[in-house]
Amino acid sequence: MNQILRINDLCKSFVLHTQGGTKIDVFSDLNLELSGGEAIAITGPSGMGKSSLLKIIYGSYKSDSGEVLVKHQDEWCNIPDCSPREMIALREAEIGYVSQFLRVIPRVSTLDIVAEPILHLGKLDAEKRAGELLERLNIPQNLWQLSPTTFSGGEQQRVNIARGFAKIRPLLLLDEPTASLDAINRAVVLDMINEARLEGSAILGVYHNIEDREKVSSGECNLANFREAA
Amino acid sequence: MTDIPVLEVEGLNKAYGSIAACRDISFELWPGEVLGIVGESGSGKTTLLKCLNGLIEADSGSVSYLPASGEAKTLDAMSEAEQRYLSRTEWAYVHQHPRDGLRMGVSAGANIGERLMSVGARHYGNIREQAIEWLEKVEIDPSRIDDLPHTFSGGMQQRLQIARNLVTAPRLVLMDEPTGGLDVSVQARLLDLIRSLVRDLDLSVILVTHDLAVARLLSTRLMVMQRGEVIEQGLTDQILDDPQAAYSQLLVSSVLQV
Repeated sequence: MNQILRINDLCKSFVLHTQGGTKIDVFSDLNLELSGGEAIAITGPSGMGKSSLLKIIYGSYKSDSGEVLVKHQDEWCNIPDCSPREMIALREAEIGYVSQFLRVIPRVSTLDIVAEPILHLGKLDAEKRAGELLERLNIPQNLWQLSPTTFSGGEQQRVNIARGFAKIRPLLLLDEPTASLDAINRAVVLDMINEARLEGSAILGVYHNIEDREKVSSGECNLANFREAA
Repeated sequence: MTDIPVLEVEGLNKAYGSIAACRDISFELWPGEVLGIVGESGSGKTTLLKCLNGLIEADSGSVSYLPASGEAKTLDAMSEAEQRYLSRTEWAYVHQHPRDGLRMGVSAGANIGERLMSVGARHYGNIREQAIEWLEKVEIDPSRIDDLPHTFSGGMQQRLQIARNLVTAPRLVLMDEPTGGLDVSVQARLLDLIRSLVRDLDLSVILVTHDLAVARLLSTRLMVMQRGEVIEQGLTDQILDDPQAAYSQLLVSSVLQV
């Protein structure tokens, strides 16, 4: 199998300097391997560090120790050692991240937001693909030219998913992608995840809903196993 | 991706008497990158920015710029004439106070046209056409083209200053709180404009701001300054989502939620 992600002995804690230097241990000695076409669900009670793990892999959280290796151009890159510039290149080529939250510049149209990651295809093709995604996710066409800042939570989330899936990368990190969606749209998103997996992407996801989790996962990584006994 | 930074700063120091405004600052700026500098007022952000294009002379350290023509050169090694030429062509500096960056005695159109002429534009019709285009981009009514900047509101002056600076597609853009005095809807439009210019023209930008939301939307990388020192730097989302230094944590946790 073509491995894309290898995590060795990863430890994460938070030190809150503004609150008297309180140290919060999140997980320790976490090990995980993931290959293309595989889909692992990260599970465990709330506060176990499920989102933190995804963010460490994406480079937006630091870690205390351990390795997070991602395959890039046939070499393993250790994310904690990557410079910001290397991390940006790594994200661009290998790692997609979809969270529940949409962060955009106000007044930029929905279509532009979704097309942005794929503008290298040319504006027309990028917009065509963006339109297809929005249509599939049931965002009515009369909203495409509007900024999503005034959309409902579910609509915003679907715009975010459309953007996240515009360019399918070898490693997909999904943080509760179905959290506030209705049944129809949830099914669409689950289909999209499975399609990405069939095309060879490796998927690491956090899913609130057990049913959703079972539909898109081939394995599980329970973070409760990596919590140090208090 | 090019492998030579546009700007290389090494060991830069600047003191005002006994007060150190910049202490041993080193960083690189890459083509197409937006580097945000955040920190409390008085932390040395503006001083640093002004040392980068020679507006203020650093006490020690070096600033090396890679011009379009190819060979990187330090500010020290440039003649004053060279620096002045770059300031008019490849560099742009957006001042915090628009009056510092505009020529208040000439019309809005002339403020934009002047920069164009300094890079060789001569045809009056073309210059005026581009001036109108830029006024529209920054949402100033083109019918105001012949008015003097002092008849503009503060926010309009700031937008005019930005138009004046960006019209020649400079390679290195230094911005000091560019959206500070603007109302939010214009600010949003400008953020979008700056971002698309960065993308389309491969601009390299250093953005000093105290607004973390602006920093998040525009910059790829952040440096946090406190008392003249860079105390933390990294990817923007890492600094804002998982700040390590005590002061960065305070900064991020002090933002009011809307």
